[in-house]
Amino acid sequence: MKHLQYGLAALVLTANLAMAPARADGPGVTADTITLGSWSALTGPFAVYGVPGVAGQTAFYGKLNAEGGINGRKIRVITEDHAYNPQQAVAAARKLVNRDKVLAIQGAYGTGPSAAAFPYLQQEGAPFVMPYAGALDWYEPPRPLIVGAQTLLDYQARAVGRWAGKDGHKNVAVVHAAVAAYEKVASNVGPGVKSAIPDATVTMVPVKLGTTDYAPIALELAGKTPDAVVFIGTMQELVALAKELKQQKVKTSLYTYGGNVANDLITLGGEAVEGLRSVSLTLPVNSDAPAVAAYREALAKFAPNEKPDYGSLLTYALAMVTAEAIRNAGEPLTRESLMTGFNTLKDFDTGIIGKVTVTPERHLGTTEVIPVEIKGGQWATAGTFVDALSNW
Amino acid sequence: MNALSRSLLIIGIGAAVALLVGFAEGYSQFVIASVAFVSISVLAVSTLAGLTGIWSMGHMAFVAFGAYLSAQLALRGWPVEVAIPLAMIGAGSVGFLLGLSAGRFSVLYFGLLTMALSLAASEIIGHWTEVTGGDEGIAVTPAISLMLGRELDLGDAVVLCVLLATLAFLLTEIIARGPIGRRWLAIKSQRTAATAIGLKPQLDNASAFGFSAAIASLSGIGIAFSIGYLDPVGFDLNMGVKLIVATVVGGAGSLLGALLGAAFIVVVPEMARNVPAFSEFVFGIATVLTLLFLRQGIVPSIGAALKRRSKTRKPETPSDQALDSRAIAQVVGTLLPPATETLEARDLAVEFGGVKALQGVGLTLPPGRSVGLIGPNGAGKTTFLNVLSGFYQATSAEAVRLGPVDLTILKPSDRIGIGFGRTFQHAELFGDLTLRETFAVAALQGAARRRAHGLPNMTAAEVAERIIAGLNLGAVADMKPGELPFGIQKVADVGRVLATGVSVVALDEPFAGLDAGERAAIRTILQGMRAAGVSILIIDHAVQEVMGISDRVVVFEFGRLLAEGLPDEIRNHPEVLRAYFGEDAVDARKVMTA
Amino acid sequence: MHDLLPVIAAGIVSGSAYALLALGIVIIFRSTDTVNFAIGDMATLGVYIAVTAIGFGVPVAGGLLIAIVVAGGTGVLTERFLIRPLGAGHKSLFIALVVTIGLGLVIHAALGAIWGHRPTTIPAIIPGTASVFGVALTWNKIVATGIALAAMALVAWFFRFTPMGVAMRASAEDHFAARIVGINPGRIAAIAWFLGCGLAAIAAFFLAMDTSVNANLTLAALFRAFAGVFLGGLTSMPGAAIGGFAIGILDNLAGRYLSANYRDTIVFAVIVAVLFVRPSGFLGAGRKERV
Repeated sequence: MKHLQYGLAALVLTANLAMAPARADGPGVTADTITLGSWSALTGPFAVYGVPGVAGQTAFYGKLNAEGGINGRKIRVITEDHAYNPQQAVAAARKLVNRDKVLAIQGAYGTGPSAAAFPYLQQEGAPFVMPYAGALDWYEPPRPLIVGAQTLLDYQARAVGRWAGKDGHKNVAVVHAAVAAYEKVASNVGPGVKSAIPDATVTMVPVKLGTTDYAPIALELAGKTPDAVVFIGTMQELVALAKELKQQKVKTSLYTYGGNVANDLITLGGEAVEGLRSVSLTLPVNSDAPAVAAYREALAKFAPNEKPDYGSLLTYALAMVTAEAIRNAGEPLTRESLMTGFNTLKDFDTGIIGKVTVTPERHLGTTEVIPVEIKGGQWATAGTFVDALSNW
Repeated sequence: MNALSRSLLIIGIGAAVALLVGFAEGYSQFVIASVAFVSISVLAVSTLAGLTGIWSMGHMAFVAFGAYLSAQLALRGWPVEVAIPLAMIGAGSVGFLLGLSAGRFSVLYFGLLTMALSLAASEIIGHWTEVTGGDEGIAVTPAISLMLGRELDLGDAVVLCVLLATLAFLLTEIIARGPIGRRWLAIKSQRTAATAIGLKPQLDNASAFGFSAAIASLSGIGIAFSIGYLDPVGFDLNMGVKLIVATVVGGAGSLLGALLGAAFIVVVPEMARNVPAFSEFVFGIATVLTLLFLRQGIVPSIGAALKRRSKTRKPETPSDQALDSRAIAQVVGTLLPPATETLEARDLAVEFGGVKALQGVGLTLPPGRSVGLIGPNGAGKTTFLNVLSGFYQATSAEAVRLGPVDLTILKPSDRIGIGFGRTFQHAELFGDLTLRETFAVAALQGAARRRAHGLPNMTAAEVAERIIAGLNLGAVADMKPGELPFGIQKVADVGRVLATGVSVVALDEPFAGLDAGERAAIRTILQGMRAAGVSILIIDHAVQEVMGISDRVVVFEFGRLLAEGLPDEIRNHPEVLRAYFGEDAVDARKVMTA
Repeated sequence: MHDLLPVIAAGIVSGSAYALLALGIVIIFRSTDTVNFAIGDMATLGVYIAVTAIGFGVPVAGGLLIAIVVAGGTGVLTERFLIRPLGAGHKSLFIALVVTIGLGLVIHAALGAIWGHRPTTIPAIIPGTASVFGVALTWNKIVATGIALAAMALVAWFFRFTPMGVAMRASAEDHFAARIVGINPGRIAAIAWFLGCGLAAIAAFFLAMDTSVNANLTLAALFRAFAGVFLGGLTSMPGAAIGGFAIGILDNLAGRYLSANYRDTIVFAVIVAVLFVRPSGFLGAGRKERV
C-alpha cells in the first residue's frame, strides 16, 4: 500500500514537473497571480479581532492590485476560518498548502491556532509570514520559515511596565488572565517596572479568563491600594475591570498593552477608561501620517464594512511588509526566494508601525512600540516609536 | 441480513476504505480521516441515545480522554496498539461510574448533567497543564506502531482513523445489536416492565454509558494522531452540541446514520468555507427540520418507509380457536417450574402523603392455586400488586412473603430470581423490540431458575420459539408491539412472563380492553398455566372471568378487605353486590353469574 | 473578611441575572416539559432589536420593553410552531431540547450575520453610583436588580393569585387535570414561553447595559443560570430564583476569598456535591415514576 502511495506521489510529481513553467516559480505563483493563504477567526467570540484583521490585508492587497500588483502579478489571498480552534487551523493549513498550493501563509491570526499548524507547515516547507499573532518561541531561536513584524506581547508588557515605573508608580498590581499565554506575557511587566524603579513592589493578580463579574477583583484591589494596575487580558474584561475600579472609587492609574488598543475600548469603556495608558504597535488610526491616510482610503474602498481601527491598520502594515519582501525576492518567485526577500529587509518603513529589519538571525522584524493614552475620549500618542526592549 | 454478514460488511467496507484512501488527494485524505474520527464520536452518542434514551452533550470529555491519553503515551514511546485498549478501558470505567449515577436522575435531567460533564472536562483540561498543556494545547508526537514497526506518518494516521472507525462500528454492531443492546432497548422503552422481568436499569444504563464512553475515546486517538495538536477548544461544549446535531440528522441508534451524520457535520463546513457561520445556520435548520418532519432521523425514516412499502398486511386478532390449553400446559411445563411456595400478604397498609390507599389487607395464594382479586375502582388492587412487585413500599405489613423470602426487602428486579413474575394492565411491551426479541430478553433472565429446577436446557432463542409456537404468535413474532392489536399485545405480555421461568404469576387486568375472542384466548392460556402447576393471582374488573378461573376470590373496597371466599360465596355475598352495584343487587347478580 | 457584605451585595446583583434566566428556564419547563436551550439566544435577539430601536431614538426604557416583547414573542412562536408539533409525552422530552439547540444555533448565526461581530453599548438608564453595604454599585445595577426582583415578585403573584396562574401550576402537575378544568393548554404554553423568554430578555438587557451588546452576551450567565437550576431543582420556581442568587453570591465569594482563577471550578464542585446529596435539587420534586 505504501508503495502505491509513493508511486502515486511520483506520478503527480512528474505531472507537475511537466506542466511547470520554465522559470520554475514556487507553488501559488503563476505569470499573473500570486496566491497566498491566511487564516483567522471569522466566527465565534474571537471574530471581533479576526474580522478586522482580514479587512486590513484585504484593503492593502485591494489597493496594491488596483495599482497593478507586483511585477505584473496580482495578489490573491485565500482566507480560512478557524474560529480560534487550533484543530480547525490545522485543517485550514492542510487545505491551503495541499489543495490550494499557496506560496505562503500570510497575516494569519491567532497565536495558539497558528502554532498548532507549525509542524505541518514545517513538514511541507511552507513559509509563515507576517502573522497577526506571535509568541517568544516563534522567534527565539529564529525558525527558517517564520518571519513576523508584530512586536511581541511580552515586549509590549515590558514596555508598559517600564512606563508605569517611569511614571513613578512604586506599587504595581498586574491583573492578568490566568492562562499560560497571558501569564507568560504578564511576567514581563515586573522587570519593566523594576528597570525604572528597582525597589518597586509588583503583585500578580490572576483572574479566570472570561470573567464577566469583576466586582470581587475590584474589591480585592481596593484593599491593596496599588499606585498602578496593569491589565493583561481581553478587552471586554479590561472594560469590566475599569468600570468596576471606577465604581469602587479605587484611585489608581490603569495601564494595558497593545492588544487592547482599539476604538471599541473607548466605545465600551467610556468614562471608565479615560486616562488609560498603553503601548501601541501602530500610529493612531486618526493620524495625519500619509500611510495611515492611505489606509483609511483603501479600507473604505475595499473593506467598506469595517471602520478604521487598530487591528486592521496593523494587518494593513504587515501586508505591506510582505509585499515589499515579494518585491525583494525577485525572479523566480519561490518559497526560498521569498524568505530571502524577507531576510534582506532593512529599515523598511511602512509609515504605520516601527521600522522593519529582518536578518537570518533576527526573524522578528521590529520590537518597537509607541506610547499612547486615552485623552478626551480619543487615543493620542504620548511620544514616538521606542524599542520596547531598550531602557527608553 | 443476519448479524454475521452485517459484521463482515463493516469489516469489508472499513478495509476497502483503509486500502484505497491512500489514492485520494492529500487534503481529501484529511477530510476522510475527519469523517472517520467524527463518525466514531457520533456513533457513541447515537448508540447511547438510540438504545438507552440518554442524550449526552458531554461525550467530548471521553474523546478528550482518549486524545490526551494517547498523546501522553506516544510521548513516552508506547505504541498506538497499546494506547487503544488502555483508552477504552479508562474511558469505559469513568463512563460506567458516571452512568451509575444516571439511575438517580431522570433521563432528561441526566442529559442536562452531561452538559455539566462537558464544562467540568473543559475546566480539568484547562487547569491540568502538565498533561494537556492547558489553554495553549500540546503538539502530539507521532506514535510508534507495532504492526508497521515505525512511527506513524500523516498518511498512516489517516488509515488509523479509518481502522479505528471500523473497530468502533464493529464493536457497536456486536454489542448493541446483541442481547446486551436488546436489554438496553427494553429498559429504554419500559423501565418498570424491564425491572419486573429482572433487568437492572441502573446497572444497564451504567454499562451502556461506559460502553459508549469507551467507543468515544477511540475518536480521540484518531484526532490526536491525524491532527497532531490538541487544544481544549476542540473538545468543548460546541463540539458536543455538533455531535447531537449529527445524531439527530443521521438518526439515533443507526450505524449508517452515525456515518451520515458525521459526514454532514464535516462536509457542510468544508463546502461552505467561504461563507462564515453558514454551517451554523445549516446545522440549526437541519436539526429542527429533521425533528419536525423525520423524527427518527434520515436513515431510520428511509428504512421505515421501505419497510412499510414491503408489507402492509394487518395481523389478525387472536382467538382461542388455534389455542389448546393442553398444549399450552405442556409448553408451560417445560418453561416454568411448578410452584412450591405460598405467596402471602398479611395486614398490609400503604399510605401516600397521608392518604390511606390500603389498610389491613392481605391474601394467601397457595402453590399451584389461583386466586382472583376484584373490587371497584379505587379499591387499591393495583397498589396491592405494586407492593407485591416491589414498586411501592408498604407503609406497614405483618408479612409480605413468598415462601421464606420477605418481599418487602427484595429489590423489584430480584423477584424473578425467587419465582415471582407479573404482567401489566397496558401490556407495557418493549416498543423497540420484536416479540421474538422480547421473549429472548426475558428468557435470558429466566435461564438460571430453569436450570436450578432441572427444566430442559434451552437457549434464549429456543425458549422464544417455544412460546411463539405455544401462544400461536408465529405470524407476528417479528413485529414490534406498535404494529400489533392490543389483544396480541396482552397475549405477548403473558408470553414474556412465561419466558422468565417464574412459578407465581400476578396478572394485572389480563382481560381489560379485550373482546370476547381475545378474552377466550387469555382464558385458555391461563387454564394451561394452571394445569402446569403455576400459582396465579388475577386482578381484574371482569368479574365473571375471574370467578371462572379462580379457586378463591378476594374483594377489596376503598383500600380495605371486603370479602374473601369461594367464587360461589362471593357471587352471593351481599356486601360485594352492594359495593359493585349499590342497592340494586338483583341486576348485579345477573352480571356476576352471566 | 471586612468586605464580606460588599462581596455578597455584589454577588446578589450579579445573581439577579442568573436568577431571571433560571426562572425563565423553569417556568417553560414546568408548563411544557421543555428545557429551552435557546433562551439565551432569544433574549439576545430581543436585545439586538431593542438596540436598533434605541438607535432610532426610542428611549432606553422603551428598549427594555421591546426586548421583552421580541424575546417573549419569539418564545411564543417557537412553542407554537416548533415544540407543539412534536407532541406531548415522555418520549419527546429530549427531542424538544434538541430542537431548541438547533434553533439557538440559527439565531446565534443570524445575530452575527445581521449585526456583525462588533460589540456595541446601551446607555445606562440612570447614570451614577450608590453605596450599598460599603460596595459602590452603579444605579444601573441597582435598578436592574430591582426590576429583576419586581419581575420575580410579579411572576410569583401571577402563579399564586391569578386564576390563570393557579391553573398553570395545576397543569404543570397534571396536564390531564388542566384539560378537565377547561383550560386551553395551548394558551398556558404560550403564556409560559412568553414569560420565560421575557424574563430572560430582562436579564440579557441589563447584562448588555453592564458590559456590551454582543452575540455571546448570555453565554457565561446562562451556564451559571443552569447551575442555579441544578441547585434549586428543575421543577421549582422559587428554587430556581434562589439558586440563581446563590450562584451569584457563591461565585463572588469564591472569586474574592479563594481564587479568582478557580471560581468556576469551585462553583461546579459545590453543585456536584449538592446533586449527590439531593439529586433533584434543594427544592425540586423527586423523580416521579409511573407504574
